[in-house]
Amino acid sequence: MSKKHMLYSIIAGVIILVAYIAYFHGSGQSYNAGFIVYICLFLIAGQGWNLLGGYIGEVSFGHAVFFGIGAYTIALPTGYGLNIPMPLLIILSMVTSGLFAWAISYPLLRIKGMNFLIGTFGLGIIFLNAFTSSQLLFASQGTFLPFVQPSVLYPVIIGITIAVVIFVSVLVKSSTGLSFKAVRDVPEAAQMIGINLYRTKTKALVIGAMITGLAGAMYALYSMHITPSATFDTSISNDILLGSYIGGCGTVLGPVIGGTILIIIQEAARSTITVTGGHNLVLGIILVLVMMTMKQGIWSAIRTGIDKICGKLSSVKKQRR
Amino acid sequence: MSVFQYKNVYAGYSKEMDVLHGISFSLEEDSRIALIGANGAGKSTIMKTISGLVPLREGEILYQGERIDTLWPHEIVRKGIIQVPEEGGTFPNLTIEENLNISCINKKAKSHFEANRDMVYDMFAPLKEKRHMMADSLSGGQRKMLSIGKAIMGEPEILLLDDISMGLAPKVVEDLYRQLKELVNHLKKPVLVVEQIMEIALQFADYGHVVQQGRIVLSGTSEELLNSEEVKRSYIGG
Amino acid sequence: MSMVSFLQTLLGGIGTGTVYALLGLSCSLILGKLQICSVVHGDLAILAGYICYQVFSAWGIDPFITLVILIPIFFGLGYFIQKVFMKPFMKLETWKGRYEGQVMVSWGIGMCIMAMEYILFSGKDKTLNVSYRNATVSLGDLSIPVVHIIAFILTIGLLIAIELLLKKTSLGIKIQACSADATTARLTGIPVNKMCAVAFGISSSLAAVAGLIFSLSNALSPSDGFDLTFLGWVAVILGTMGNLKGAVIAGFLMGIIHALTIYFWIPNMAEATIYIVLIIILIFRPNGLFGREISKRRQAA
Repeated sequence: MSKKHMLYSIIAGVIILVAYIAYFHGSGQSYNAGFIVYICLFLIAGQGWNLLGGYIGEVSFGHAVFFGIGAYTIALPTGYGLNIPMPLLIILSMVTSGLFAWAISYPLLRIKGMNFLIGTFGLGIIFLNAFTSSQLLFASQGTFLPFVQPSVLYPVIIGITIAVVIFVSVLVKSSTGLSFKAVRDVPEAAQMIGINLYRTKTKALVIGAMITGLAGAMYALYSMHITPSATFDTSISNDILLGSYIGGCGTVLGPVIGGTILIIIQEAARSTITVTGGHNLVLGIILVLVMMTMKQGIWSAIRTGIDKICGKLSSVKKQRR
Repeated sequence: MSVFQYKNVYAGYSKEMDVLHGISFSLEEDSRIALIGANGAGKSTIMKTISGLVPLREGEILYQGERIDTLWPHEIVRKGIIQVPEEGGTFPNLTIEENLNISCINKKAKSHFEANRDMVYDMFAPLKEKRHMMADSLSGGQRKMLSIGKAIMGEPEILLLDDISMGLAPKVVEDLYRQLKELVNHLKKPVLVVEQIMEIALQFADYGHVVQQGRIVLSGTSEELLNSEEVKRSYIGG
Repeated sequence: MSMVSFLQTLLGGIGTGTVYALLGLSCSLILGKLQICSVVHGDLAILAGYICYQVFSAWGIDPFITLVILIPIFFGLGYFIQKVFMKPFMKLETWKGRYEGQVMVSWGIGMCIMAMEYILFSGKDKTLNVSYRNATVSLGDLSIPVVHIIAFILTIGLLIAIELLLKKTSLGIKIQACSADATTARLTGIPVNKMCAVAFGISSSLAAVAGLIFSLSNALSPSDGFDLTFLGWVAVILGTMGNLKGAVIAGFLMGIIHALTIYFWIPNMAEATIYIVLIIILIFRPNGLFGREISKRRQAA
C-alpha cells in the first residue's frame, strides 16, 4: 500500500468514525447503533482469522478459542473482584491470546490441511467443554462485566475496527505479508529463498490470535455478560470464517464485506424465520450459492466485474483513438 | 477419407494463453505418424486434447467423420482411441492382473479378453511373473510395459504413444520400441507417437510432423526428416 | 472399581463407538479414497434418524424396516450431491481450492438440512422409543444393550461388505483405480465422475445407517449433525486416510475413550478428550495410528 492510499484510508476511516458518532448521538436508535457495533466485532475477528486462513491457507475451525480467551481475560479479574484499569485489561487480553497461540503453535502448526482443520475444531470443543465444566471459571453461568457507557464504547470499537483493517492491509503489503502468500502458494519455493515455513505460520497465527482476542475482549465489554457458550461455541468460529469465505478470503476487504453481509442476513433471517435454528436455511443457501457461482467470494467477483468494465472502457477509448 | 482428422486446433491450459496455435494433421488406416519437437513445443498437449483431457478453444477433432472433441475422456477411450500417457498410466494400488482387467472396457475388447491377455503376457514376460502382485512393485520399464499392456487390452482402434522413453534407460527404450513395432505390425491400426528422441520416433514411424511452439513447421516422410538440416536446427533452436 | 464395572464401561464404549466407526467408514470411503471432502455426513445421519423417528411415531413401523427403504434413497441423495455440488471442485488440486470449496458447499447443504429439521421437528430432543431400546442381554455379571449388539454386528458386517466391494467387484476395483490416479483412470475409460458419485452415494447410505444407530441410543437434536461429522472425520484421521479398517477401529477406540472419560473424569469433557487424544496422536503420528502398517504392506508387496 502506497503512502497516498494509506492516507486516503485513514481519512476515510476518520470520516466513518465521525459519521457514526454523529449518528449515534443524533438519534435515539440504540438498537441500530448496537447492531453496527456487533457487526464490527465479527469484522475484527474475521481479519484475525483471515491472516491464517486466507493468507497462509490453513483453515481454522476454532478461532472462537482466541475470541473466548480474549473475552475471559477481560472478564475474569472483574469476576474475582480485582480492580484493574480497563485499557490495561484490553491490552492484557490481546497478550494472553497471543501468548496462548504461541504456546500451542508448536503442536498445532505441525499438522496441516484437513488435519489442521479438525485439530482446530477439536481445540474449540476442548475449550468449550473445559470452560463449561470448570467452577473456577464460573462454569456455564459465566461472569458479568462492569458497565461501559455505549457512547464511549461504541465509537472505540468502531475505531478499533478501522485501525485493524488498516493495520492488516499494511501488514499484507509488507514483506511479512508477502512471505505469508509465498508460504501459501509455493511452499517449496518459499523455503528455497530462506523463508522459515514454521516461523511464518506462527507469526500469522499469533498476530491473528491477538486480533481475534481483541475482538473477544470488545465482545465481553459489549455484552457485559459472558458464558462459555457465547464465546467458545462452534457457532462463533463458524460466523468468523463464514464471513471471510462469503466475502473472499485472502483479501482485506473480502472479510469486511462478507462479515457485514453475513451478520445482516443472519439477523434478518432470525427475525423472519422465528423457529429456533431455522435461520440456518438462509445461510446455507447463500453459502452454497456463493461457493458455486463465485469460488473466490463476493469481493473478488465484484473486483473482476470492475476489471471487466474498466477493460471495456479502455478498449472503447483505444478504438476512438 | 482419413480415419482421424485433427483440424486447425487452438488449445491451452488457461484462457489467456494458447499452447497450440492452429495444428492440423490426419491419420490414415495403418499409418504411423510421429510428432517430434523440442521440449515444450506442445506435443503432449496435442495428445491430451485428443484424449479429451485438455479442452479445445477452437477447431475440431474427427474420428470416422464424427466429432470427438466434445466427448468425455472415458467415452473417447471407449471408442478405441487409447493413449499410453507419459506419466502414470498404471494403478499402483491394484495388482497387475486387475490393472489389465479393468482396461477391458468396450464389447469388442471383452470378446477378445483372453487372447489379448495372453498376448500381453507373451510380449512382456515380467508381467506374467508378477501378475498377482501390486503394480507398485514394478520397475519403471515394467510399468511402461503394463501401461502398454493396458492399452492393448482396450483393443485400440487408434493407439497414441506419449513419450515412452521418458525416465527410462536407453537399453530399455530400445527393447520397448522393438516390441511395439511387432505389436503395431500385428494390430494394423493407425498409431500416433510423440517422442523426445527424434531418431527413435522416426525409425518407428513412416511419416513425421515437426512441432515448434505450437505449430507444425515441417512435415515429411521419416527419411526426409532424418536427413533434414532444418529439423536438427529446430531441435537446437527450440 | 471392580473389574466388572470396568468391563461394562469398555463394552458401553464400543457400543457408542459404532456410530463413530460407521461415520468413519462412510467418510473414509470418499475422503480417504477419492479425496472428496464433505461435512454433510453427520447431518445426513441425523436426517435419517429423524425420518426413522417420524415414521415410527406416526405409523409404528420399525426403524430397521425404514432403514431398508432409506438406504437406496440416501444413495440417490449422495449421488445427487456429488454430481451437482461437489463435482465442480473435483478438477482443483486437493488443498488449493478443492477441499476448501467442498467443505464450504457441503457445509451449506448440511446447514439447510439442519434448518429443515429445526423447522419440521423443532429443536427439542426427540427419542426413538422402540420396544427393544432398553432391552439388555446378560452375560455373567455384564449386561449388554441389544441395540449395541445389533450396531456392532452391523458395523463389522458393513466393513466386510465394503472391503469385499472394493477388492472383488469390478465397480470397487474401478473406484480403487480412481483413488490412485484420476487422469490414468480417465485414459483407461473409467467414468471418474460417475465413480465418485457412486462412492458418495454409498457413503451417504452408510451415514444413514450410522444415523439410525445414533438415534437408537441417543436423543436426536438437529445440531448434533455438525459434531457427528467431525467425529467421523476424527475416526478417518486417527485410523489413517484411506484405511477403512483403521477408521472402524479408531471409531471403537473413540467410543472407549468417550466412555472412560465419563466414568473416570468429568462427563462434560468426554468429547473434548477425544480431540485431546487426536491432537496428541497427530503430533507423534501425522498419518494416524495405522500409517506405518500401510507402508509396510506396500513394501512387502
